[in-house]
Amino acid sequence: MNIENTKAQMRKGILEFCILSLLKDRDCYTSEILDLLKEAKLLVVEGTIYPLLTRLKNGGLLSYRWEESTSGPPRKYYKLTDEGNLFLNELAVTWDELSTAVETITKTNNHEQNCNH
Amino acid sequence: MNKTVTINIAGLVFHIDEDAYNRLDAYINAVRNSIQQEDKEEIVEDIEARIAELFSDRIDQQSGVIRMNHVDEIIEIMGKPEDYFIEEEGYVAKEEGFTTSKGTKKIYRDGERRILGGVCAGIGYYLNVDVVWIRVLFILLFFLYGLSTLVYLILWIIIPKARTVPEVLEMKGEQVNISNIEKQFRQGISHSYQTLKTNGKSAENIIRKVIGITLIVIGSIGTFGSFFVPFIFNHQNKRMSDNMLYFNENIWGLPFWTLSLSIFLVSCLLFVILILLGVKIAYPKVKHIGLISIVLGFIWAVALFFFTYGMINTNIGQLKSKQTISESLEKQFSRTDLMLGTNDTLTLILDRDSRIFTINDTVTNGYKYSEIDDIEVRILESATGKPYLEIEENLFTKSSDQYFHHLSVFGKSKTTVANVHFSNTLNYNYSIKSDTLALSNAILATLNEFTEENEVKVKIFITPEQTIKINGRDEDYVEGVDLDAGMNYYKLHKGKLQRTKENSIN
Repeated sequence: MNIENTKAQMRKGILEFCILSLLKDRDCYTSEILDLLKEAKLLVVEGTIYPLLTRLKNGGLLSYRWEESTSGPPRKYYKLTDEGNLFLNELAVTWDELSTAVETITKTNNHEQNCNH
Repeated sequence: MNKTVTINIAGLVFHIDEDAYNRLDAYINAVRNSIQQEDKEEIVEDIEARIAELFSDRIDQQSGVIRMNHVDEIIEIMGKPEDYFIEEEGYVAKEEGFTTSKGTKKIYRDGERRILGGVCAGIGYYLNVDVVWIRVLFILLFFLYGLSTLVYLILWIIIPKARTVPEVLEMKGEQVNISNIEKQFRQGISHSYQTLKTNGKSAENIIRKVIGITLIVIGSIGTFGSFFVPFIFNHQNKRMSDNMLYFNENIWGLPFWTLSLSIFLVSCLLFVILILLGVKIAYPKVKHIGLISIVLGFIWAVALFFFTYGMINTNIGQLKSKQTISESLEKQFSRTDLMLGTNDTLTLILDRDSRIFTINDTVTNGYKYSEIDDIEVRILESATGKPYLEIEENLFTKSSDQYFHHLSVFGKSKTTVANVHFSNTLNYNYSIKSDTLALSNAILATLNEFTEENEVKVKIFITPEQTIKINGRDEDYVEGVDLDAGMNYYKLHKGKLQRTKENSIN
């Protein structure tokens, strides 16, 4: 079992949720999303994001528009669609459930282990 | 010293060192290959836009050139081609397998180890066989009606050339990932593949043009000629030629003209494909030729099948008819002793049938003369010690009310007898006057469908002491004798006819 691989899998699973969350309040262009994700240490290499964004866009959860940039190529600004909003809300609920569940389980285990000692 | 190229990424222009460019190009191609998703190009565009952005942040302000270390840095940021791979729904994650397994092998032409188009080298990689053996095979196939030429040219068209590093890796069956691509660079292979695109093009182009245009010309002439091919069929009589028996449409299931059409297609399409091949060789940029060729090739195969099938059926029918006819032929023998002394000379006159003047050789009164080939004259050694003449007539006399009709049913052929009336009598003329034998050169027979099946075999038996003198105009039909003018005295020696000394006297 490769630990790096498992980590990557875990990150990838919640990556879509995080991208949608980032776009909830304001529109971002790709590099912005990248910077925010990297800052949160959710992303190691940038490559992963592109297929993911396209998949979300094709799924109707995101839409985008082009904007000229003063420094560099035109930027692709992503925006959450109504469908994406609903999707995000559902994911948020699931995430809450999951994080509670994970917390409960890991804490219970710790507690039991402490008891056994 | 380093050569610099100018590139345009996402609308921005950069100067980049050539080696750095090669690595970047290979990287983008590898990424493109590892994206297993729709809208591949859109994703690649986004990635290129990001790379352009990163470049503009990093560009060397003094030189304004992008160097290898910049590209490496960007690959570091963007990640390995495998990182671009996301699992589609229902797709089983196999990330570990993805990096370690052998890549899928694809067939490409190898421009690096080529002699002509790199077909053999490509096949060699694909089959894991040393290219030498593939070449030997092609050379051997050449002696089989030049088969390899056609096969090679077709493969040349169909198989794409390995142009990019990932394609080269696929050709060799290696995994397309950054480490292998780098390995290729270290070996300098990708460099030569890159330069292949630009260098040495003019010479190759001229040769291509010459070969291509030659093929186009040959193909055009052949295509034109193909339009005359169906004329070998006689549509009125539904025969291919005089020798072929009737073609039965009802049993064949298709009208007679399909046979003409199929032979036309068989001939024409082959030349059309030759033209396409010529176009492809002379102008490699023309698209869809391979696809069109495959479709035409398929139609060609179908036409060939129909034609072969029709011909085989007709031939089986013909053979069966011949068999039935020969079973119906009756042999009649007549034997006449020749009045000849022990050392006498027999004079053989081969002459025109006198009746040819009394009956026109056009069809008169239902009679005609058969062909001269049907008379066979042999001179043999007599076993009894006495000379004699034997005439064998093959007569079509079994029934006076017979007519053969050819039927063929998919693979099964049968010959039946129908009801056209004719009577058949064979009338071969010859005369013996003491030591002179006069043979006619024609058979008089009733004109009918099977007149040609009639034949006459004349056997003259003499002893080795006796000489035979052959006179006459139509000397061709004495078996085993090479007759020269004036050299007409022959004797039997050990069963074979040989010229005698009397020839010199003449």
